[in-house]
Amino acid sequence: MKLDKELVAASSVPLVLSVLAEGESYGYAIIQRVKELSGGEIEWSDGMLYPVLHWLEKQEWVTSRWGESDSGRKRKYYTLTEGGRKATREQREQWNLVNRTLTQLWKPRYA
Amino acid sequence: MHDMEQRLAAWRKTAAAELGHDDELLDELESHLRDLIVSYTAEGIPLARAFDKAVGQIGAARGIGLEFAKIDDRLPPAGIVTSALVVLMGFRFLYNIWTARSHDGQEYLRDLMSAGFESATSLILVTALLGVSHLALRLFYKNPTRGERRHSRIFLGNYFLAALLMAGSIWLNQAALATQVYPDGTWLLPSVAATIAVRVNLAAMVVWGSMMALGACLGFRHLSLRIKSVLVALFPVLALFGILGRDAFSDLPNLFVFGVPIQLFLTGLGLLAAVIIVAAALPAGCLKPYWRKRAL
Repeated sequence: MKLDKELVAASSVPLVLSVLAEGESYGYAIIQRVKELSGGEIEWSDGMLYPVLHWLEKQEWVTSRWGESDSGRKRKYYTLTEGGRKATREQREQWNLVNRTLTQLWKPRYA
Repeated sequence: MHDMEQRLAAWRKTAAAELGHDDELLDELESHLRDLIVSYTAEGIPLARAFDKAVGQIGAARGIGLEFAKIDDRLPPAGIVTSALVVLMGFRFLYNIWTARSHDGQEYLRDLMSAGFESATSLILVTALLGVSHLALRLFYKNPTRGERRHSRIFLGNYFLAALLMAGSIWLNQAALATQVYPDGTWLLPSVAATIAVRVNLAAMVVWGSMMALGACLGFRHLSLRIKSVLVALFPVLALFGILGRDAFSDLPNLFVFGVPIQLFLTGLGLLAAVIIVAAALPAGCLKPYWRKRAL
């Protein structure tokens, strides 16, 4: 099952925030984590992650620093800020609400 | 491996053409591309194919650039710019009607249509200076992005149109004044078009230029350098416009803008714009990329 483009776009912020809530990460690893957790069902065009990351940084929900990979290559790492943690909690509540509502609506019909 | 480095450099150059020469962003994308290549080759995919696959997975730079454009909330929405232009134009025409209300017949029309064109020489000079400074920047800065080229064409088109229409309007008015004959409406349409085009162009340069410059310098680092450079050149020229306008308008002592004599208004506008651009550009490091050019 492939997600609609609109849903992929809408879920990108909570997904990235939630991955970063697990700890500091970088672009490629964030995408791999989402792919792994969704069983490969949620797939982005990798480059599209960067406008999201830069937007999150602009909102001061994440901070970034340049570091080095194990092989010594330059790599940009992102970390959640306190504001980002708050935003993650809010996103979580909103998505849970949508989930609960849809679950109740669909339960009787398909039970 | 050497071949891959060459292909990476070529990919980076192509991406820079769409995303602007934002080295940090390009470094970040390149790092991602290398991660993908490493993971594909680890799966046993040959290097050349791994590279192509990784480039496909990153996606088109154009699409990424469009996404970045969406998150640029510092750029003025088109609606605000249009509204500002309409208000300026409306103000100008109301002013024209107000000053011409005491006249009648042909004299009324002449005042209505030629308002401001007594200073056409200085306006043409300013337009020419804008065009020349822009052309100089075009020659000096290489590898413009598509967006930069488009903006450049629009700016140059505007300068050309403004200068042409102003020159045409001067000629029409001079001819009418020399013969003391105002043909029955035949010059009305071009003259109205000239008035509107010139005012829209000048207003657009001031309103759009100010907002773009502020947007560019207050933090939106993905705005193309070409546009920034045009703006950096634009504002000192507007300051010059103020100085030129002061002399050029000296024979029109009764023109006021918001209660201020037009000479003072134009001088103040030019100087204020110059101060804003310098104050905003220097701390934000907007000018840095002009001498920190990375070899691709």
